[in-house]
Amino acid sequence: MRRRPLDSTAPFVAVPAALLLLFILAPLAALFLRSSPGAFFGALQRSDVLTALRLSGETTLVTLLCAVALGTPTAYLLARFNFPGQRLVDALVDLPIVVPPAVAGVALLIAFGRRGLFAPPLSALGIQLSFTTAAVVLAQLFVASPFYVRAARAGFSAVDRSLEEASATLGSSRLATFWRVTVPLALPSLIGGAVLTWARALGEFGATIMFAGNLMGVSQTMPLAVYLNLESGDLSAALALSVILVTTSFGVLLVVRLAER
Amino acid sequence: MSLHAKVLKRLRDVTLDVELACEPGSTLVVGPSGAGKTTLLRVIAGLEAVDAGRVELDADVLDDGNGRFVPARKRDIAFVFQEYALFPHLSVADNVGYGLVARGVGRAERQSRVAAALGRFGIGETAGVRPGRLSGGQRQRVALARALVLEPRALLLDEPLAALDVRTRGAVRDELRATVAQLPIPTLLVTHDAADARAFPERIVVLENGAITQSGSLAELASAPANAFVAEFAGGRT
Repeated sequence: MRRRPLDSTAPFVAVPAALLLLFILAPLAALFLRSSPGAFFGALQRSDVLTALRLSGETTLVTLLCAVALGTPTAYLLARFNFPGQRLVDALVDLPIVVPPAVAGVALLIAFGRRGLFAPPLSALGIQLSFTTAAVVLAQLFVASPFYVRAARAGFSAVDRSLEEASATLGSSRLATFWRVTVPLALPSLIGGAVLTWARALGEFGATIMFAGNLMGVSQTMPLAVYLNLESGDLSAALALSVILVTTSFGVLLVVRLAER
Repeated sequence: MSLHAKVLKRLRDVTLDVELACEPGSTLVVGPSGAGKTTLLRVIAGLEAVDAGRVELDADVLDDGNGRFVPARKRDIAFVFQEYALFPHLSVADNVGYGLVARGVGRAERQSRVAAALGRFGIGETAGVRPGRLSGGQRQRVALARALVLEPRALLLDEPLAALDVRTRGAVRDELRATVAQLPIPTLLVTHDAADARAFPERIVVLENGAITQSGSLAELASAPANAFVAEFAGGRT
């Protein structure tokens, strides 16, 4: 639908919009105003801050790869096939979005922890997940992967079926059609979903602290480091990490919005 | 080259139950919306299977309704979709060369065949353009070039003029008629537009409620219409 320029009715929507925008901006602005460049760059030279940065970078990258590898077929399944229990699967895939992250962490702990439901087979294989870096990835994946699946499913659904059928009549296999037609046409949605998933994983806190703990170099990602520094009274480190998280998240959102245009 | 289809297929509102044999040349399948025309084409193309029946192209059994089903990609039957289904992310040249890539044709031969196909349809200057920037008539030419560059054994066209505006439809219809007339393969065109019958009058099959109610040339249909629909259609009123 075409948008219209601001007119006499604008104040009725513009005033509440401005209030909401201010409410969002005020705390973020405070973060930047309280964090001086000197303190910011000083914090960036501390080993615990750098370790948290590196761990966040590594774990979110692995999480993103796992989300794409598992989420792409899941999204295609939901977008292209009819099967019994489809709505249930659809709802289950979205469930982590509405489950509180702390609950997700407890659930992961009860399932995969040392005394969890799947502890015996995992122990037999010599695998221990809770309070490890792998647990960080699992917590991020649990919380963030639905964002990718949702976007990818919408992207696949929007691809005109007749294009895939045309590809078949021209001699392409289903796999070739998927790579040559479906993926390129759904790519903006796939990228958008991947970016949002990565950003959500980067900010993951509740499930991570429950399932992976808060161990420096093992499970202490940036949000956890913010929490720890704030608790211990080191505001400058907490602010520096917060500024990095906010800047990165906003940059990511901006890139997604620009890519959508 | 001959195409034979005996199709029984249950659809949502109607059961398609037809037997059709086509030799090289045009066969126009006409009928009201929902008669099963597009489904008939889709079954012949291999996009859907028959519930019972048989689809044969020359001596090849493509679908016997009983386990043997050759998928669309292996049938060598070209399909021009109603809205042409051109790949919007590919240039015109890449659209036309798409099937050649799928068949493993080498780059040099592919480029030469694509150039020849574009030249044949007078769209050489659009080679690097995306389909979204083409006119309706140009899009149809690209769709035909993409279909015919593969030298298919049969050509199916689903409402090939329906996506065009009324002003350009007549000229594109003439072009289509000239193209189809030169093809040495069975060509099935589906339409609900009576004006198409005058362009392809040689053989017309009337499909109503999933069954063939009459077939013959336009003159035969006009002289002895089986029912009011045929009378109206063959009479040329649009």
